[in-house]
Parts: sequence; C-alpha cells; structure tokens
Amino acid sequence: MNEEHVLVSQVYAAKEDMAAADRLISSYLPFIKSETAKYLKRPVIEENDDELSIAMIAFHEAVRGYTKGRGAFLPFASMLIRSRLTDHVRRERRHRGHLSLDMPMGEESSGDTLGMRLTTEENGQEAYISRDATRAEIEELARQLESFGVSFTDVAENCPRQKRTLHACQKVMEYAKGDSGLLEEFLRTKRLPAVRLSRECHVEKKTLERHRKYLVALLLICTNGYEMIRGHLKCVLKGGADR
Amino acid sequence: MKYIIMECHASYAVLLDEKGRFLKAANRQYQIGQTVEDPVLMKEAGLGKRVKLRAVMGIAAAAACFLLAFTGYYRDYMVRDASICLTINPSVRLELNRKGQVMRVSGVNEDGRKLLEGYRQGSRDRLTVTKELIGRAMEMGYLSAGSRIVLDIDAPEEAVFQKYGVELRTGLSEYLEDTLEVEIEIIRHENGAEETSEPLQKPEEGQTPSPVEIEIERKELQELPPEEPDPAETAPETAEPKQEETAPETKSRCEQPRQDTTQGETSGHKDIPAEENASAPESGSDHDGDSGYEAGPDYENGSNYGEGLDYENGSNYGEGSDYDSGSHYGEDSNHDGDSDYE
Repeated sequence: MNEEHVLVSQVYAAKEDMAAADRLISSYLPFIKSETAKYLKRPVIEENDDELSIAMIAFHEAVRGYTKGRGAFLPFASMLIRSRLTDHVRRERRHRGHLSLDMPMGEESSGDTLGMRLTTEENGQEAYISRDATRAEIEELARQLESFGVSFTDVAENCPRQKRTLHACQKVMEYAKGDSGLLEEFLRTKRLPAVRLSRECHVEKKTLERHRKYLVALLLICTNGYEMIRGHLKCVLKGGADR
Repeated sequence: MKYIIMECHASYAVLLDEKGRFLKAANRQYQIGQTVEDPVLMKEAGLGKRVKLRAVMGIAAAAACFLLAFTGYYRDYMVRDASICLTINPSVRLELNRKGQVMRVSGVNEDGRKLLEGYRQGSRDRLTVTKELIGRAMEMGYLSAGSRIVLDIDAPEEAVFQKYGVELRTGLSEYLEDTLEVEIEIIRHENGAEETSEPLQKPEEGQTPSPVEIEIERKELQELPPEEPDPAETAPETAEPKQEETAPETKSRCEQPRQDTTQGETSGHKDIPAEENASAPESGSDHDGDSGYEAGPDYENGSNYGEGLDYENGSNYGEGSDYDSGSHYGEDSNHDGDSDYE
C-alpha cells in the first residue's frame, strides 16, 4: 500500500519532468521487460528488440496519462504497454517476408548487421559523412541551446500541437531568416525579441511567449552553421510550401 | 516523412520532422544525426478529451438548471396573462402577467396615445397604474363629472376576473370618492359579453359597493329581441284561465334590472288596472309585486325575470336580459299587456 503511494507520487512528479520519467523507467525496466516478454512469449534481447523500446515509450505515455481515478498505476501501465505492442505488431505485419537491415549477420558476437554489409550509393561513405556532419551540428545546437537554458526535450515539450500555431511559428522563422540584425541581437542578448516579431509577423505576442523554447530552437537553427538541419527543413524554409 | 534524431535517452528519443516539429518517440537504438522514416511516436495523453467532456457536461447541466428556473419565471412574469382596457374616452390597454403586474401600457386610440405621452410607469401594481392614468385623464380634461369609466377586463378565468374587478372597483371608488362623480363600469372581455354593468352614483349613496355587489350573474346571450315579445303577448290570449301565470310575466316585464333603482318596479298583478300600473313605477315597491305573485314556485330564488313565461317556453331568460338593456321597453309592453286584458 505504501509502495503504491510512493509510486503514484513518483509518477505525478514524472509527468512534467522528462528526466524524472527517464529515471523512473530505468528503475522499472525489469517490469517493462517482463511485460514485453509476456506479450512476445519469449525472452527479450535488450539491444535488439524494437518491442522493448516501444514498451518503454508506452510506459512514458502511461506516466503522462495516469490519474488517480484510473486505478493502480502498474496495471494501467501494463494495459497500455500491451495495447501499444499490439498496435506495433499490426503495423509491422505489412513488412512480413522482408529482411531487416538490422538483422544480425555472420557470428552473433561480431555485431555486424545486414545494413552494414550492404553498400549502396545512399548507404555509402557519403551518407556516413553526412550523418557525422549532422551529428556535429546537432551537438553544437544542443550546446547553444544549453546556454539559453533549454534542452531538446524541453523543445519537444514546448512544440506547438495545433496546426495554426505551428504555421505562426514557421512564419516567425521565415521572417527571422531574412533579418540578420535581429538574429545577431538575439544571440547577443539571449532574449527572444517577442514584441518586434509579433509586430513584424502579425502573430499574437502571447503565442510567441507560450512557445518561447521552441522558437529559441528555431531561431538558432536560422543562424549560421546549421546547413544540414536547414536542409532537412527545406520545405518549411522555402516559403511554407506545406501550408 | 523523414525525421532527424536530435537527442537520445534511455527510454525515448527527440526527433525533428521536416515541418520543424520536435517530437518524442521510442528510442529504437537510434544515434544522433540519424535519419529515420518510421519512428514510433509518443502519443500525447488522451486526457484532454475526458476533461473536456466533463466540462461540457457541467456547463450543459448548469444551462439546463438555468432554463428550468427561467421558464417558471418567464411564464409568471413575462407572458401576457390578462389585460385591462381602460376606456374613458382615451382608451388604454394595460397588459398584466400571471402575477397581475402591469407589464406594458399602450394606447388603443388616438386619445389614449396622447394620454400616455410622457407617462412613465412608476409601479407595476395594476391599481396604482390605473389610478395614475385616471389622474392624468382628469388633468388633461378627459374626465369630468358624470362621465363614464369602462374597465374591460380580459382574464383567462372567472376567479381572476372577479378578483381584478373587485379590487379595481373598490380601489377606484375610494380614489374618486371626493374628487369626481363618475360611473364605473366593469366588463368581462370574453366574447365581448357584458358581465356587469353597475353604474354607480356613489356620492349620493354614500356607500362604496361591496365586493358582493359586483358578483356577476352570467346572462346567456340568447337575445332574440324581435321575436320575444310575441310569445309573451300571445300567451295570455290563448290561455285566458291562466291569468295568474301570465301575471307574473307582465310583472317581470315591468320589473327593472336591479341597477335601475331610480325607475322602481311596477306591481305585476294582473288585476291591477293600467292606470295603477302606470303610476306604480314611481311608488313601486317590490313587495307589491311579491304579494300578487304567490303562485310562483321559484319566487324565493329571485329568478323572477319573466317567470310566467317559464311555463310556456324557455326563452324568457332572454327576455329578461332584454329588459336589462332597455329599461323603457318594459314599461311600454306593460301597458300593452294591460290593454289586452281589458
């Protein structure tokens, strides 16, 4: 009974804090593993099973969606894990009869996969280099974000869900890209020029302030040195082709 | 849709999609910078729906309660239930709600509108408003001594009509007692039927009418003015021996409606000569008629209007009401009847 109380308070703490949720998940990993194994009717291989990561994300969802009115936490999480795994299995059914690039090749211990052995134009050296470059950019971006006191998880939490809000934020990004003075000032002061952006882009100031963290990430991407990421966001930056 | 892996944690990864959204997904051994196409995205908690539904239900319940409460209020206070048409010469209509409060005052004719010009209804009380309007009419010179005030009450129920009628009559009589000598007439609007007409010469009488006086006898509207005298006159001729029975009839003709007290009554006895009959109205007392009329079985009931005719046909009530409206007619026919017998 007492344990249950502790768990519930932990769950409630983890609702807002992804790091706390991550810690909760590591401590409940055995539970998640056992639920997954029960579902798959075989032992789980930690490095290789997609199902385990899906079970973990399902546990995350359970933490977020749990309220005291929904009964004990663990049965609730177990139910959510099983239904998410069912979803996954159904979705994967269309790939039946196809080989996986992550399929182990050669001896078990070598750790080679089919994807590593195959060489195509995409999958060659070039791709490897571009991935490295992207990773370097992302790490740099993460550092810069940290100087603003923001992490990628925060950005993801703060990301607009509504289409209209997303468009508003994209409009802001579009404008900021063409105004180098504004970006310089932004980097120097480390403050989001909300008033100016709201005036220039005809977006409510309130909207900008609500999505401050997200906009910080977007504006940073607009500054020099994030070619790969900007390339990824091409369709947005081209002028809102998706609109 | 392609996603770049931005951040990896033990249990989840942060992805950036092509539209610039940062999303959380299951970390399937991803590496930072990797591009993936089919991540298992984390679903946002479906809690919102339930909360929303509950909120909507709460609002709906509140709205329903409000509606229920308001409907009762609306029916009692906002819907026209009765109306009083006050006619002096200016004619004004007061609309009353179920609680008897005045909702609106409107002028029916030109003078009525003139009377209401600049009038601000200070109270919702029907009597107060009526008094105020009559006061205004006096100020504006519409109402002078000897004129008539007609209150045409349109009420859904008899009881309501009675209540309003009694209240207005007593209230107005008191109000006008020491200012003007006027006649107050209260009518029930239904089918245009006249329910009461009690002209009041109140200063002479000195007595304000008690509610009982207004108590109304409903007279059915079977007025057959041209036909009625005929059966009445033929009756005595055909049935000569039934003198006693025809006598009450003549008497009833002579008898004036109660309100015409100035006219007095004639004695209805057949034996009484015409001259006596003619002189009777001045001195006329009810008792004369009574004494000559022992035979009437229903006499005690006071429903002696044309009782004699009761034996012949049933149309005598109509006749009775006929006399109400025309007081002179009774006298004339009385003479006729007498001359016939002679």
